[in-house]
Amino acid sequence: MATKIVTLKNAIITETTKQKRTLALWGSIFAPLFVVTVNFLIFFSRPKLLQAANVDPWMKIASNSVNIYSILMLPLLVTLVAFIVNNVEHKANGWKHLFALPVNRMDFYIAKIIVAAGLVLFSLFVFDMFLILSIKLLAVANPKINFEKTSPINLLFITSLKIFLASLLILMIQFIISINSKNFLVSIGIGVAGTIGTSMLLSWEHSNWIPYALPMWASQGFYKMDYSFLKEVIVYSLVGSIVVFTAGIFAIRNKNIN
Amino acid sequence: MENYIETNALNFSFGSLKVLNELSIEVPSGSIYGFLGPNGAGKTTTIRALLGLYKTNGDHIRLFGESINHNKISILNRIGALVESPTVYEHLSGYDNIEITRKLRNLHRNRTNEVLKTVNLLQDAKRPVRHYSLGMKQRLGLALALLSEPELLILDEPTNGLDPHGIIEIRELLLSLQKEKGTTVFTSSHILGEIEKIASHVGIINKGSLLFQGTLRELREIGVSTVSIETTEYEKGLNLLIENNFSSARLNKKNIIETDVENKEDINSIARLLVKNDIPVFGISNSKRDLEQLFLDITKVN
Repeated sequence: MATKIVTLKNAIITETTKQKRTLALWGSIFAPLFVVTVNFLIFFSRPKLLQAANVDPWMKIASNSVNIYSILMLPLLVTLVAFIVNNVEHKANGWKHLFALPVNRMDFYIAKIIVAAGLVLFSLFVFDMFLILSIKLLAVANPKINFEKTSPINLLFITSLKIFLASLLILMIQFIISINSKNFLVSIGIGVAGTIGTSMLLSWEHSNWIPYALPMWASQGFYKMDYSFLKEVIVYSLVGSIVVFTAGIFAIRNKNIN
Repeated sequence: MENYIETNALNFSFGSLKVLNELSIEVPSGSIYGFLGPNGAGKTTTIRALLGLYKTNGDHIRLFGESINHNKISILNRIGALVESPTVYEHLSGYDNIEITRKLRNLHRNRTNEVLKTVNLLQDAKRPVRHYSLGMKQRLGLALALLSEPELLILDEPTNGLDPHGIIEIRELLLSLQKEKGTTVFTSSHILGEIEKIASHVGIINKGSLLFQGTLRELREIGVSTVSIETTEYEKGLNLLIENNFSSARLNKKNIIETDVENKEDINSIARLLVKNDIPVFGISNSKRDLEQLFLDITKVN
């Protein structure tokens, strides 16, 4: 058991090394930075949006950013990360080398998922930090905006964690696609189609069943000021992830490696 | 002598396409086994099956006496492999590339520099691999295989992309590993000349079937050689030989009789026959086909 944990730990360390200087790492920093910056510019140039009597500026800016991030940017980032973490092997002829090492195939599979999930979680943390920073910056830049009403930083972090859990099903689906296809168009195409298609279908009454919509549904807890975790969306995402993960185990175990 | 690799009537198919056909190879420990065959013969498929990259049923593949389907991890722990083009992460340095495998194999950190030195890449270790030449990448791949100081090296066309100087270096490296550390080497190639210079044992594969297996000396001894006979009465001699079951007898442009023989006894019979029938013999010589020709013949006939 101890050796198994060491092997998995080593697999995770080496997967992290492989992500040095890749777009996956930069993407998880620039995707949140982009959304937060655009929102900052909107509210900086049109402060009136925040000055109406019934508007809580902190909530308004944060909800706007959380919404866009969870509907569009995060599913796209998940798609990109799942692709890159696997494509690094496709590009390097890596699978045959890794699978001829005295390491269980499962260890690589699990290590890659952990690293990919870690990057997604990291991006959400970066998002929260940038968001808080941008609000502080706006407060300094425009003292007329009254940020005193609320500053629900805890709620923001909890919501991000919920969004992360809700994004795991997308991650698993994109992961299986990217392991099996080295074709950029297939992996990214499905992710982009899933994300854009979903954003068009959000008003559909069953859209809470679309995997790519789950982060958005999880983000709803933010403006509803809901702190609880055990929501249908998250349970669905977690159960779905386990099912897809298990299917992936069987697929990888029996795969002939070219 | 124990066999480090043993396959027993191994079959493998891609769908309906049969790629390996009742393949039975035996690689004795301590040997350098050259696995020869033209492109597309099934060499890489065999190697992938040996390493468990391709799924096979039953216990047709045994390494170190154990079935790859039951003891994969402990078997792979004793093997270093280079399968086809080397695995290189181009965005990382040569050093990082080796470190990845070193950590996965849980080896001492000194090994990275040692192995980089062995393949002559220490000076370029910090450069990103995307700036490496094809030969440097190949050497990096070889370094990955050598990293764990394995008892058994499985190499698929290890000299691919190397210049003549590089080829000689690899050859000397493999020979010294076998001699000094007792490493068993299983190396594939489609170039006979390369195998001839290092191998103690040879297996020849074509279209998924094993056509020959044995020591290099046995390979040299099999098959026919050609006897040339110089005589003034060549037409009479030619007919005589044809009548006496040397049906391959023919005249060359210089009116010298040539005929294929299978063993030394045949040469003796020819000499006796000619002398007994009063045909003057001014010269009789025996020339072996070179190995290259033999290899071509073996793989062509089938």
